[in-house]
Amino acid sequence: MKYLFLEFKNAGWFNTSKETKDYVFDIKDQYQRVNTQKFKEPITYYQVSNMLCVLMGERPKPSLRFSYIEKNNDIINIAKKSLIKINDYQYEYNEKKYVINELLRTKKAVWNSDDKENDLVYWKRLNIFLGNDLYNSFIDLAKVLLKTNDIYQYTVMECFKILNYSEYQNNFLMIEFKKILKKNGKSPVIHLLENYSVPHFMNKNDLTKITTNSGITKIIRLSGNIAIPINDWVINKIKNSKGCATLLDGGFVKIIGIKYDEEINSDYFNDYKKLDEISTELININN
Amino acid sequence: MKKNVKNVLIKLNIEGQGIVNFDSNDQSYIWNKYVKDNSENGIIKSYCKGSNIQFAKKNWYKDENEKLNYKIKISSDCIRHNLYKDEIPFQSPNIGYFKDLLLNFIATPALLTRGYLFTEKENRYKRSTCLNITDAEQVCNAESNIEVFSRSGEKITDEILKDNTFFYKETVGEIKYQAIGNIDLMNLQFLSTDQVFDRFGLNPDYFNIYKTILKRNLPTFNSELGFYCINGSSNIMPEYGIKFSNEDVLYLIKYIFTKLLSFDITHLKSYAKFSSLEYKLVYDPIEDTFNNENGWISIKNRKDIEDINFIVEDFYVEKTYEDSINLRKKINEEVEKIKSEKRAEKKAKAANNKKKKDESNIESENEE
Repeated sequence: MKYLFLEFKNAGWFNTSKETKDYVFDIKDQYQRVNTQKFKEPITYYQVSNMLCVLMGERPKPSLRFSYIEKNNDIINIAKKSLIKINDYQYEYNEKKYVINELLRTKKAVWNSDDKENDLVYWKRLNIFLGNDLYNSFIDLAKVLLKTNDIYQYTVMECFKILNYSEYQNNFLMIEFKKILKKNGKSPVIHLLENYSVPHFMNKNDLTKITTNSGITKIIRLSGNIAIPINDWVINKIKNSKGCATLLDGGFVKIIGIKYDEEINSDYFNDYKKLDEISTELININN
Repeated sequence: MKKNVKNVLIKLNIEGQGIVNFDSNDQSYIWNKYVKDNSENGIIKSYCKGSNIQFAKKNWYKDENEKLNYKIKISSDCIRHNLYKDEIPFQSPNIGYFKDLLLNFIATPALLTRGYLFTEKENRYKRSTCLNITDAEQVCNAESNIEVFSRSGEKITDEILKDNTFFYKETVGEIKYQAIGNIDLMNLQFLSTDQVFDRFGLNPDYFNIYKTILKRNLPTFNSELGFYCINGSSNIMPEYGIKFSNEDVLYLIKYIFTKLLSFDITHLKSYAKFSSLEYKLVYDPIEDTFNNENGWISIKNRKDIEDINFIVEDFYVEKTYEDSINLRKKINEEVEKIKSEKRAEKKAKAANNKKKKDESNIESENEE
């Protein structure tokens, strides 16, 4: 029997749960993330068979998403017979078990991707929200009420703060303007004029919403070794293919080499676990 | 006979001073465990309490006695961010909603090599990176420690309180790192414009605009759309897409090497920069491995990069339009056949259940 030895490093496993309303998608449809599932164990024979597929120049089949690709049973059987050793990613301190995880800066956080709490309004943002006609009307109104030709001496929030006084709110021009705003579906500005606080609706509008483009999450980095029982067919496939693959999120897979049974000590595989003995149980994404 | 190159392995050495990549203060638990484990060995480091602390990112190891040890690292995400920070200073998903901006963005060597994901409802573009790189891990014996720092703040005149703060921060002196990785030539050689394999990188309807823009950034580009299969794969379903020529792939590899050569993370009080780079051309994936010391070529300057020249393996074979469409029709017919069988099965099952329910209702009525 021959074994192909592989080493993997930095395989990222997302195991933190967050309340989220966002969607995940595959080529067929999109689904709410809270209704999706994940594997209980970090690495099962599904992940290893997909890694082997890539290593052998075949198409990997997504384990949880819909795909038109047929699974390759020959490679899955090889993966099931393979052995894996994952370096310990837990430690004990004061009789409690902790997971070694690290902070990862993501380009877009899964949760809270639209910034609903943003309360910064500036003249240009108001212009975009109201459109040119309504914006110019508002500027004219503010000029008349505040008796100034240069309204831009104020920031927009200062202007709203002054217009918040009852003498301005009860002015008939202001009352008429509010009616026009309501008619045009711009009631967030009425809210801003009356209460001097930025309503959430302004942050939800397609033109003025601000997407949070950076966030943080926690990730567990796994490393370890995999021993794959191989035959000449597998060797030929790997030799004729690109010979590189990844495991989980960005896990770098390195080929160590081929070893025969005779070269391996009897207790060499004591730390290893057979992949078909690792549970493939699926749990909810938030567990 | 000289074989074609299937893969490019890389070893990147980095040198610097101080910590450039920080982690969360959750690390305090494992740090305290490390201090406790090693206090008997004469390594005196301070325990940390509270949350006002900045730790370096680390890889943790256990020795045979289950005692913890660590090596400082720069995460692969940090390396990649800094490699491409000139072209991609920030990621804005909103670009996905504006076609011209999006095409201008993705038709660049930076995006072709780094990969991208845009989840706009009609055009979900996705391309995985061809540059796989590990975390850069410390390779010297530099020891880090926790130091106390202070930050001056405003004095509140009416009260005795001052807004000065003390905080802890991990520091280190001169340090060297090494990262290993590879350039996935198979990935680099092809851009999918087909949804069939879940890696739709570009809407083929925009190909002409895309080509015009890409020609500005990748002068050798002159490919056309076509149907391609992976050479030697048992999956014979053709994929619609763009295959890059040998010149294009070489241009992109040189682009990646240029990026690695100018790698630099500079912070106010610390830095990490390129020290040396070695690469190895893989002709046989089982023989040409990281463990094999032969065949490594060092890159010291731009001249070394310009001299790179080799023939990339042809990973994709072109199929004719007719063959591809006929095959797809056959597959679709088979899929439809299976689907209709399943539908009929489901219908029969539902009818059977209804019949059983009706019968049980009649029985219960008769009993009454």
